[in-house]
Amino acid sequence: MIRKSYISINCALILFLWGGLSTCVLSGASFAQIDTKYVSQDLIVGEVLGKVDPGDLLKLIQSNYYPVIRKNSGIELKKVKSSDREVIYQVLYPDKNSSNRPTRIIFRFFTSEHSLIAAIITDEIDFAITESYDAAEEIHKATSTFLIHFRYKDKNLVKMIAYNNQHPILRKKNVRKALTHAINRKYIFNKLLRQNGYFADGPLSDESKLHISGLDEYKFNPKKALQLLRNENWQDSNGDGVLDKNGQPFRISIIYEKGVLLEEQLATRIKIDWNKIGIDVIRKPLIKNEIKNRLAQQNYDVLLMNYLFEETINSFESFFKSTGSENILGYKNRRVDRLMNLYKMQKPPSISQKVLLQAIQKQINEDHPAAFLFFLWVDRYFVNRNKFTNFQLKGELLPFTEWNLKK
Amino acid sequence: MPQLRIKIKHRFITKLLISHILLASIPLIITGAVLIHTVQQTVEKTVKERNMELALNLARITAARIENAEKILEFNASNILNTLKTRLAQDLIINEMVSNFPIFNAIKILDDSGYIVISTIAIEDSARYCSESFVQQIKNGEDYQSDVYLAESQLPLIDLAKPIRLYNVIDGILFSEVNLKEMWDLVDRSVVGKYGQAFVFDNNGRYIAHSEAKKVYLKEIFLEEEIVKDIKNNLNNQRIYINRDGIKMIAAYVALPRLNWGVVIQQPLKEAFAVAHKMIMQMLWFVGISIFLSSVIAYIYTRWIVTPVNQLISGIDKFSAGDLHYRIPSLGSDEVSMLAQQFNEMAEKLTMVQEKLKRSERLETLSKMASVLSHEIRNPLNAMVVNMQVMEREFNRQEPRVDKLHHYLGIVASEIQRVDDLVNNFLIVARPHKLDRKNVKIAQIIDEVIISQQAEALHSGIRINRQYHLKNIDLLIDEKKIRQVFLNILLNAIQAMPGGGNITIELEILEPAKNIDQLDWVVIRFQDTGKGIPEEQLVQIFDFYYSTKSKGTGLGLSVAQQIVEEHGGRIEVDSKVGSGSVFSVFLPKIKEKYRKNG
Repeated sequence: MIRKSYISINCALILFLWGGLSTCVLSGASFAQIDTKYVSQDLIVGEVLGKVDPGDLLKLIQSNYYPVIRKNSGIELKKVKSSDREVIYQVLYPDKNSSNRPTRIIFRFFTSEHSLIAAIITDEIDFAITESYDAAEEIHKATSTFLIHFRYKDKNLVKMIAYNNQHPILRKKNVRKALTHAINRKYIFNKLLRQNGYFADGPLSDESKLHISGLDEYKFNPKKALQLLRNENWQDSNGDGVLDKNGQPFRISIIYEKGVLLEEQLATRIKIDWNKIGIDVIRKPLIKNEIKNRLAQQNYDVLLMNYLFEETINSFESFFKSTGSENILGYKNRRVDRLMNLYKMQKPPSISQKVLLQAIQKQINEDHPAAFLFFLWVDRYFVNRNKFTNFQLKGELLPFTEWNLKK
Repeated sequence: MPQLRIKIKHRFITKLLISHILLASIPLIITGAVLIHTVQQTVEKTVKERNMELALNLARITAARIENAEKILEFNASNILNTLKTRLAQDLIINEMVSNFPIFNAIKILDDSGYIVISTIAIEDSARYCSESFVQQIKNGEDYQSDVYLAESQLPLIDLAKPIRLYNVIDGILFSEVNLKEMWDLVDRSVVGKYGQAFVFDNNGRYIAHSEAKKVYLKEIFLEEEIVKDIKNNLNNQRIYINRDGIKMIAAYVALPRLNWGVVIQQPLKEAFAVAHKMIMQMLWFVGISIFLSSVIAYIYTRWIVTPVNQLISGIDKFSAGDLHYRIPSLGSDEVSMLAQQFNEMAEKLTMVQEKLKRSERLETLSKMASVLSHEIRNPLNAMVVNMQVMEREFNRQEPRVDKLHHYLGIVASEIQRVDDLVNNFLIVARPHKLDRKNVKIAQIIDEVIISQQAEALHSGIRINRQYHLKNIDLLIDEKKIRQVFLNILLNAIQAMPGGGNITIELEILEPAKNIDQLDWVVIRFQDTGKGIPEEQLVQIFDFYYSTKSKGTGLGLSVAQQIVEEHGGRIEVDSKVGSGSVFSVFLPKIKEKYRKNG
């Protein structure tokens, strides 16, 4: 009897030790895996590689494009991993009462907005931004997990076609004007933008106090476009449907943000419109980094882009002045340069400054170095409301680091 | 008797009630059951037909969309692209196709070797060649259709390709990626109810379009093997099955044979038959309420029938309990009322007969008493005559002894007193009297009688115990006379125990009736521990002038019995020699209203 009891106690002890050991091993294994896996306290931001360069993330965070940290909150971000596909920031909270807040912010990059939409619908990510109405509609139809928060864009953020003014074909302003006249902006406005925005006639919106009326809007007029091109001796001399001049076909490439739904739709539509007047267009979707490189070398023909013009001479100067730091257009006009210099010589604020700025706008409108298409209204922010709370206050989106994880 | 009455009454009302309820309920239940069955059948048929119609419609439109895409390709391949020879024009055409028909994700024009010449999407040079087998199939003049595959964006696509012919010679290939997401709006529109689902799946069961788009993105597979098998066999059918979440679903499915796809419209069974369930519930409520109402009506009607019968029974009860003056009130003009009327007439006659009987009994009693009285009076008279003669002789002596005279005079006076008592008692019995009934507490009367005799009892070494099972019993009685009854019985008991003992007085209601309107019996028991009455004397103790005591008049118990009988009650005696006797006075508990009615 005693022998039996002794054996059974021993067996129980062995089982107990075995169980405890297994548990420890398994827990150890899972702890070991935490570093490589996403944990529940991660906040995953989805982004399209064509739209945002992973290298620009910090700048975008600082500009509050991504609402990450409130200024002077004492919260710090520490980059712990960076690749083409993913950037991970560790959040360092100054206070101890932050156990319920995201500990890491992971920016995950997708090759297309379609992939991003799929990731949103399958709850793979927690936050994303899109300006596409179609994308928002698709997400809204497929899932109720995400709250759609609308954030109004800056009123002077203009969607535009930047022409390379140094390009042999696009050097001529009539050619640039012809290209703009060939674009059916009304079609784009109704079918692609679903009327979420308004037409642009220059770099500043009509809500801006410096906006001037009476500028040429370069409305859709394919006949005028063709006439302008003919005036520049562009015609289909060999019957291949493509305009040519001195044996050179009118072939240009349009570069745009790769995988961004609205950009792709716009590029296709612009290509169709230009094809219709005999211009051969090659679409070149590029990731943001490639676009940046191309622009740095001014190695492009036409670029579809967004640009925010501030109502200051500096903003105009950097973009339109011959020596401007952001003059990606290669636009050079001595009069514009002179007017800008004159502006700087005036004492602010003066009526003459306003007159000068308006004169600059008029000259730019006349030279048409770029086609200013639309001012879009909103960006659509998607927030995983099943995972987070406290992300909104009085209709405003709070910084990520103030969001609370749902218990 | 009351038990029998209750049984009869209950049987009668219960039978009537049950028969009425059954008569009303059975048709309702049968009609309800038929209606419920019909509703279930109709709704089931409607749901199935609707779901099948939706599935067929979805299948037709889905197929039509693919066919449309094929037709657009065919049209452009055969009529436009072969005549537009410029690359720019072809480029424009295919871009316009993609722009105007969102079902095309991309369109490419390939040369007859399978190299991409033009594409609506930017293509790397390395990806400009399509597979040999595909090109060969097109070269053989066949159209090409791929299986469903997922794009990088996780969206389902199929490839369609048509040969571009110039004078019946294959000059190129028009290749398109068909975006099956364009069918999603169709499934969204085909969803039935709140929890219904509509979806299309390919030959592997993988969702191509689903009303819950997430399932497509997550590459989920439809796991209902039987349905997938039927679809593979090109069978359209309906099936009820339990899905992975344990929910019972009703599904209508249609096969798309050319595409090897299946279309399913399904809905949780509970939701599909919610209307039927609601209607059934309403019907059950209706039947339930109808049965309840008919039961209430049946009860009221039954009571309406039974109440006169009850009144008749109650009247008979009272009459049989001794309330001979009670008459059943008018109950209407039906058979029961006639019965009541005849009963009243009978009761009237019986009362008259009884009155006559009473009168003759009284006369008989009086004559018996008169003879007894004359005999009884003769004895004292004789005694008086003898004593008077002795007194006369004493007076005639020279020296009459006064003490002797006093003695004889006393005897005479005593005999005169005896005669007076005899006459008085005779008058009590003989004088016709009417009961002066009042509602009094019987226990209180007993208490008062006990108090009046307490000293005498104590003097005789007797202890009187009270055991009242109910104290507040009101009886409609002649208080004075009933007090006399209790006094006579108590005195009798005290006198029966010269050596002392116990007297226990109990008060109780015999078998309390449930219905307060019914007659109950109140019993007052006087139990002594005296010597008891021999059996042969028991039959005589209520006779007039019967007494075993030297000083008794022999009227106490007979007077008591007469008073109790006048109240409709009776006195019972139970005695055992050596153990004592029990005198039980039974008084009916008559309510004042009956008395008044009587």
